Amino acid sequence: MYTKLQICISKAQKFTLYTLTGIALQCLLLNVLFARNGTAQNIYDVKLRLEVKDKTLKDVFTIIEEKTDFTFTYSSKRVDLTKKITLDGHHTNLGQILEAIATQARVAIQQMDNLLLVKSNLTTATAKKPAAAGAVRGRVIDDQFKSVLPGATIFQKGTNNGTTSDVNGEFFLRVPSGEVELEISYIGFRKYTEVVTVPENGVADVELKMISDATQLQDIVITGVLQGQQKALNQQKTADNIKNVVSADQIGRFPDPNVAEALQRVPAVNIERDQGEGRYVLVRGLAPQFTNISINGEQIPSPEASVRYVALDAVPADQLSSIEVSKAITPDMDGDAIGGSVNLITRTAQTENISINASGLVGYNNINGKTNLQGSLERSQRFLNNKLGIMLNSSYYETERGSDNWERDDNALELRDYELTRTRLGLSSTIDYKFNDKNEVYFRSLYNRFTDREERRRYIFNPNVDDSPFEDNEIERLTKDRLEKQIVTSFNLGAKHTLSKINLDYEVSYSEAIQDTPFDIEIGSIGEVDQMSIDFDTNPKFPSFVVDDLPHTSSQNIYLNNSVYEFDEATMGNTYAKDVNKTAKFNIGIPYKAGNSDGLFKFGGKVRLKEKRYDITENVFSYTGSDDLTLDQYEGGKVDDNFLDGKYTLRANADPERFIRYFDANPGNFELSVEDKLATEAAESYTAKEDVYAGYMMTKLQVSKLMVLGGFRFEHTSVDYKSYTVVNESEIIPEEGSTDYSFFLPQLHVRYNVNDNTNLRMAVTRSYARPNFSDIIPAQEININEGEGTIGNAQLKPVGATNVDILAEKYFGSVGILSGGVFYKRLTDFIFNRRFESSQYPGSDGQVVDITQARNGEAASLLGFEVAYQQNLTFLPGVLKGLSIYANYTLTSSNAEIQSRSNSNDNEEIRLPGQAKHVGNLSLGYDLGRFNFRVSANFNGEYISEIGGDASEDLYVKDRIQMDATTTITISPKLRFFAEFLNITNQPFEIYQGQENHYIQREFYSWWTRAGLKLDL
Amino acid sequence: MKKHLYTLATALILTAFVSCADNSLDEKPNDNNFPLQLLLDAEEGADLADAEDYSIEVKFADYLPDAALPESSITIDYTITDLEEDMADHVTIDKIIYEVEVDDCTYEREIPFTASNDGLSGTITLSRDEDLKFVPTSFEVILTLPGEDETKGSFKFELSNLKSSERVILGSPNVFEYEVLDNDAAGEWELEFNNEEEFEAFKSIFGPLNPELQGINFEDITGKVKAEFEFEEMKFEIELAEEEEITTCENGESETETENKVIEIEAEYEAEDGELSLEGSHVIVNDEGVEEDELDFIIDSEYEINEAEETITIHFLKVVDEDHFKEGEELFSNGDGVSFTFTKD
Repeated sequence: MYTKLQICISKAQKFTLYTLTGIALQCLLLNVLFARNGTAQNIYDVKLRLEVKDKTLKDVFTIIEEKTDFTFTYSSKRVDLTKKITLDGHHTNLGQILEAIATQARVAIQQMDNLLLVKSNLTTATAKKPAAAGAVRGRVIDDQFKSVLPGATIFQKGTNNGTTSDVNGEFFLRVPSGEVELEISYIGFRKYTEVVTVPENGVADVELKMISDATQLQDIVITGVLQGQQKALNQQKTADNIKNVVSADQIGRFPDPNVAEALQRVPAVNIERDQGEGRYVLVRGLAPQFTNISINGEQIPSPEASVRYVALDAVPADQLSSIEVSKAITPDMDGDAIGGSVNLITRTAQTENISINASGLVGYNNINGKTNLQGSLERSQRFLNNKLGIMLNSSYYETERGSDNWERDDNALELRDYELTRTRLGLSSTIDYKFNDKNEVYFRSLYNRFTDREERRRYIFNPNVDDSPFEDNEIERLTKDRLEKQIVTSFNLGAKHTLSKINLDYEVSYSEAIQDTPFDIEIGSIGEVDQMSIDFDTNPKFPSFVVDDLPHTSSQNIYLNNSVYEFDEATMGNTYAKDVNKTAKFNIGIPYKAGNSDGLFKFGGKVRLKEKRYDITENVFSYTGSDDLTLDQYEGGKVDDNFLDGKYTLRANADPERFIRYFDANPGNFELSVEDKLATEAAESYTAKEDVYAGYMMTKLQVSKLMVLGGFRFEHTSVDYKSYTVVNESEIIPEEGSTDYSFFLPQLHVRYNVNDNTNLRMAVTRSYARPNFSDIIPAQEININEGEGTIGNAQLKPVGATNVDILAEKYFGSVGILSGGVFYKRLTDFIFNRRFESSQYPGSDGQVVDITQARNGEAASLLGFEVAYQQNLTFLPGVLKGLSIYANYTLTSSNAEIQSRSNSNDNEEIRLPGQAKHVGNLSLGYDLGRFNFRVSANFNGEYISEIGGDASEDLYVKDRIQMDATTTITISPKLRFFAEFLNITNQPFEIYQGQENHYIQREFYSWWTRAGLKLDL
Repeated sequence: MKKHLYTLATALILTAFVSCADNSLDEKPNDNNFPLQLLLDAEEGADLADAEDYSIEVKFADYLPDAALPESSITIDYTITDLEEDMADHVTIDKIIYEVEVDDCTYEREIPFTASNDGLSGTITLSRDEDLKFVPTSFEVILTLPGEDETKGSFKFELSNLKSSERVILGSPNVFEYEVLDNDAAGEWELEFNNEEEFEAFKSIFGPLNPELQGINFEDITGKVKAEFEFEEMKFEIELAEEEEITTCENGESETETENKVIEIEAEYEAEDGELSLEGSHVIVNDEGVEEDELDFIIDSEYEINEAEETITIHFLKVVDEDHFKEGEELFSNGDGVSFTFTKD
């Protein structure tokens, strides 16, 4: 055993991306071995003598529990605990003693590991009687913490008839009337049976209280963190499709402040960041538009104008009960999810006791020495004899952060200093009313408001490298100040009915997403210098420059003298994007029997009406005043004295507020560029309507250990849009367009339960991805003089995909999982941006210009392998048993065929943009009593972010490993303290062009921390 | 009681969050309130010494297509100041005019103004034009000048104190500085090609800058080339043999004239100490004859004036543009220069 452990540790020391898989497999072998050793003793091997006289059955159970490691479990309703027992002491082992007790008490006792299951002997006989139909409805809860347990398996013992508890721990199971024995299992908890008396044609209400499995958990203190893992893994294990679940409690395990960052820990998920904070989610290496984002099963619109996907940094994690990432969709899910479908599930009231959850955190952002803070408050309660449930949740987050960044554009060097304030307010509520056991209605509302105030100060050094008589050595100084607000609101009103032969649920919902930028101002100034040179080669990570023969570190440098910069132009404007979804849907499920197997036939329909529009105001003002206007006259604001660790010296840039005061006082000195304004506003604004009609049929059949789910979905989409074509920045032509398309999407899922803790899964599914509105609307902007333009592509087809997934999962009683699988996706008509020469465009007189247009590629395929391993290493000796590991790794390769960039008659193979070859996480934790400490590393492999004119111009986001640490101290079951330390190694965001040492962007965020308390009453 | 406290605390916190005000930047100029600007077309100008008058254009700055133009009267004060040398006692407003197009015919109309006794200050009143339905969007202030061959001096024309009941302000520039054009190249000059060789030499310089010129032969031109040097701007006009009819209608009278077509090459120029530098832009035409780019060009040359014969000889040395400026890649280069002599027109 020890040798095996050494091998495991040795492997870990040699850890590389490619050996992650090996480590996981190694640990699986260890686990199997330890699992066998950890099995409880046979009761006949347990030496015990017991002499009692006229003791109650309950007392005898207590004595045995005190003298052995075994625990009795029983239903007090079915077992007469007052029965008197007498034992004369001649029995020599526990098995014989239990036989004697069973005979005297007329019960049956069954050993399950260290659990002794006590059943009434009458049960079996009663259960065998033919019975009319009935049902059991109930909730599975953790007896210790009184929290609900989603994903529990509830089976009618000895049959294939079973179900799983939903996200609220609730279940509904049709059973014969009479006395029915239910078997409930949950990872990390003792398997448990309970006999329920079901009325004829009625419903029996039960609350199934589960006790944590001390044997498997080796006396680990159960904290919210562990609860989170249990809930997530149980939901994952019992799911019909391949999915990963992140429970809200589990989010606290990692230092992830928003939903996007929480999702990066999921196997085969990586994220795109903005200013160091996770924003967009990429599942299985596919770009964000290939993954749909839903709240409570309904897609939320995107507040952004040009895309469909949702920025998940706008959603606080505090208001969710769990996040589900479905990697293979079922027919009752929206079909536009090639990468996957992310479902954010909000909370509901659980008990009649007032439940209050609150948290408060404060933190420090090192980049600018500013603070961050976060608070949340949730109150929930059920009223009117559990019929009415009300949950109110609020959370607020505010951070003042920034970044230091340099970028390269051809021969120009740009220094960017960001300072920003972000706030995130989340309000949500769920009101549900259960009329009776069979009918309930609910109303959910959600309001998220994310604001991002950003000040960006730039220096652009543009040397005249060719010594052209038409150019100068210019330094441009720009300050941008803008406020962006993203507001997502949704209302869902629905009902669920469990009728005698069918289940019916339906819902109407309204959701809107707004991106409002009330002001966006950029002030530009330009200075000219006699000499300038930039050295990108000597130190590619930090280029150096010389201006007027002085090194840039000198304070005497001319570029720091603001009086040499003349005002160039000021851009002021605002934008407003609004996306509204109105949805209605219904689902009908009909349970049926096929021989001894239980099945469910389900069908439903859905209509979603979407309206999206984007308006922009952009005013560019030039200076016409007679007096010189130079930067020193409107400079101000913060100066970063330690920009990029002091490698570059900066001076105060333009102060927008000061400039605006001057501008307002002297409007006659500034002239509006009307032509540019009209061209920009017309080219970018649009309105669009998209109606989606969908229907599906599916069936699920459980045949012994095999579950088969198959069916199909049909979706029809009809799109209308209005926009403008702008030719040469002057001629504006209104355009209208429409398109429609349909998809028939067959789906098949198979799950085979090898044993209680092992699943084999396979799925073959069809799905698709809609084009972004900005790509498909016929808006066109052609600038003949500059010889370039962009054209929407109304003929753009959605991307279709056939997906094959195979996965094996092994769950551990100590709360863990080892899973591994492969996936393959075949994409048709994938979309990419193409640049080409053309004289065919509106307003053309035959001039050839460079057009950029989204095009459909020929085909693309992805082949990937993913492995995930997480376990509390409770089998290790001594203090080592507090260790836990969480690791996952995904290897993906893709190739896509596009028209060759060098020869238009040929095709060329490229990697899919956005697809990272390697993605992984490694997290090591340690639990010591109420103390938990965890160090996590998140690895995102490099990926192509933009396809260039040729391969040497392709832009790559460089691979990145972020190290985080978190510690939790469970002060009491109701109160936790935690502290987090993020981006410990100050990992930059880097982009290179063509070759790895040709950096074109390096952005640093430094580290930040948070610490606070979480209270659960 | 405890329950109510919880409720109250929740409500208070929610209210605090929702009422969080954004720290907005108060940006006053926007589409709803940015005013119309009345301003001068240029900050400075000049004409030949013998010019008898000079026209300064006053106009509204570019405005949005749906902007409401003023219908009520606008008054604006003017002053003529800093009169130097010969300009003193000679410069006054002669008249202020604007043009209106009605039924494809252009009508010139006058704008009233009051002037002080010395004519150096006064008030211009811009009123609603019945045909336009609003005030004129541009007008010309015509100033009288001394008109003598040896006139020297300068002056400033300034607008101020704009009054309007509508959203109109005085924009910038509002001061115009006039001076006598003092470079010796100023004026109109004419060149006559005597043979095809001379024309081909001219084409070798300017052909790369003008696809139309590059495509014609000696037979296609009359042989006349005009060089017109004004204030900071100049142009060459190559007269073609082909004629065209031009119809104009002014003040109700229509007139049709037959004129030779011309090819124009325009540039800004600097002429000092015998060095002449021309800068402009030209279009690039691909093999199929369609325009695909527009590039800036620079022409380096030298010039000599022969006052006795009233000629200017220009030695063209080098023509470069943004894509062809490195040594050996120039559009035209000749160390000795190719010379053409123009005669005063």
